[in-house]
Amino acid sequence: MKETSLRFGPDGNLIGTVARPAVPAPTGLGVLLLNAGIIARIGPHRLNVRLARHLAERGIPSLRFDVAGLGDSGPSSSGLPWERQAVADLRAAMDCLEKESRARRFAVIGLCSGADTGYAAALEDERIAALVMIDPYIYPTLRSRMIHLTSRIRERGLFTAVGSWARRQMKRASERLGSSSSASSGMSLPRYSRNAPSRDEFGNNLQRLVQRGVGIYMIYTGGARDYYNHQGQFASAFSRWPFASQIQCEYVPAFDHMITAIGGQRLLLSKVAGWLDRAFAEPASAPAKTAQASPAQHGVENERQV
Amino acid sequence: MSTSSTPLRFGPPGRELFGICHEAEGRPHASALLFSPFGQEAIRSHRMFRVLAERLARAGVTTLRFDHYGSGDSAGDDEDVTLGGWQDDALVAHRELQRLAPGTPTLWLGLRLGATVAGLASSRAQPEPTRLVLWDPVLNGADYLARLRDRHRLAVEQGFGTRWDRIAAMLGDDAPLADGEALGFATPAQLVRELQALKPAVLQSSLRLSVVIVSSPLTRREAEQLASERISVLSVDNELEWTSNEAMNTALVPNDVLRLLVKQADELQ
Repeated sequence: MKETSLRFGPDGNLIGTVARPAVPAPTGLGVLLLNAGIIARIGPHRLNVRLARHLAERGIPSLRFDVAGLGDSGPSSSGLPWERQAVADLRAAMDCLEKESRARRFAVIGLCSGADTGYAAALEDERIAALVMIDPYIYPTLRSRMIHLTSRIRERGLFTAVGSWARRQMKRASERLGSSSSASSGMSLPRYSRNAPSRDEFGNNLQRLVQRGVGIYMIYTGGARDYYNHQGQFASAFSRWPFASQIQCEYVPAFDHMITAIGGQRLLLSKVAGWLDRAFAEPASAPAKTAQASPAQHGVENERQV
Repeated sequence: MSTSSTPLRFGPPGRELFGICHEAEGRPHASALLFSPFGQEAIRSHRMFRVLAERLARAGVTTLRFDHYGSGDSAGDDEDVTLGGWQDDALVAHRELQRLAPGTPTLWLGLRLGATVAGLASSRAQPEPTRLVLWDPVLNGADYLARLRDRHRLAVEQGFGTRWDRIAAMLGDDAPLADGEALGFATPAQLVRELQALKPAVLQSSLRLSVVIVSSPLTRREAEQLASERISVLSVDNELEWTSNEAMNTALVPNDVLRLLVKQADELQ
């Protein structure tokens, strides 16, 4: 394995590190590793470095990089808003990894905001053949709300938990009165501050991606358990879309949002590498733009118990 | 506005270090080597170091920030981190800085355990750094280990939104309660032994001309006792929490301390 740190991008403002395997796998797959929030490209607790080296041992090259303005990367001259710039930078990173390795199709691994960026880029760039999304957007269901309330009653007692629930409902009602258009189809997320697309928009876009052959692996952590708290929640929230059975989605209560425990980090590496192995077991038979060698058809063991 | 910076990988094969050189604007009148702290503290202070390096470069100081072995973007695993190894890395990075800005007076500037490493390694550097600036150095290793343990526990509790005992009850064998780690990073046995042997007198005896900046009330009393003819101690009222998981969506760039640090480099002229 060899690592090279470099500048790239149209402005030469982006900085990243390419990890090249000693013996590249014949799959033509390259992996992009993204910032999580404002954490630099090494990732929370250096998770991206660990992932990059673990993947290189399995023959998969990767580029971990900072989007414009974060980590070590300089600002862009484009004037794009942050979300659009992150997508543009991810596409520049694919150009870079394409040049630096033999990768012709890509998997994007992102946690939290990194998952959001990977998803947005996949809608625009057909070179993306797989998404690994850790704590992506969450869509609560009646059952997840009941589980949350029950666990709060158990932990805090009936009076405190119900009082806190009632206050939240009143606040939500007053917010609805104050705003006629809800971005989340009435499924507002208490204290969940990410700017999530509506369930319909997210569902329709995931359907497009799956139809294109993009493999998608979602992991929800125990750190999100106020909103996502049982196996099957994703499939249940998107049950009316055909793709729901083709996306592998796991709830791993032993992970916190930032995968703090070292044992949890090792488990994550093994889950992600195992999924990529299964999804890309065969060499790419065609250029990336027709990447219908369909990883979506492989890793479809939905919502396994862990 | 960013200054010109170049990513580098240097050092011996198998122990390659990642660094970023921020080239001085105009002719450099000094050079600076920046030492990051350990583990999560390094992640949390990354932004501060970048801003500091850019300000130093604008002030005419060629600045190299680097990741020690087993940290950041450098080679190695955190399981292999030792205080001795990090001191050797400091000397390698110092040589790299001499190559980048030959003949300039050199400032070493470290935060937390990075400051301690700078202090311990400085007398072995050739040429010796002109000045050391140590910001909240770790003076008592046993206290530091205890603090890491406490903050690890707090971070896990915050991560799961509930108390330690409830996490254990909820997750059973999967509960993230292992020894030998702190806030997502390993604390290997050799490092623990080296930290347990670290006392204020150990660092004090290694220091030449140094400035110690204290912003943490946790180390204020011990740090103030370091003051001597060789060692100035400056206190600032800016309590910062580096030992925390809550790095997401949080910027920590304390302007007053950064001004003080840049002034230390200006004084080398």
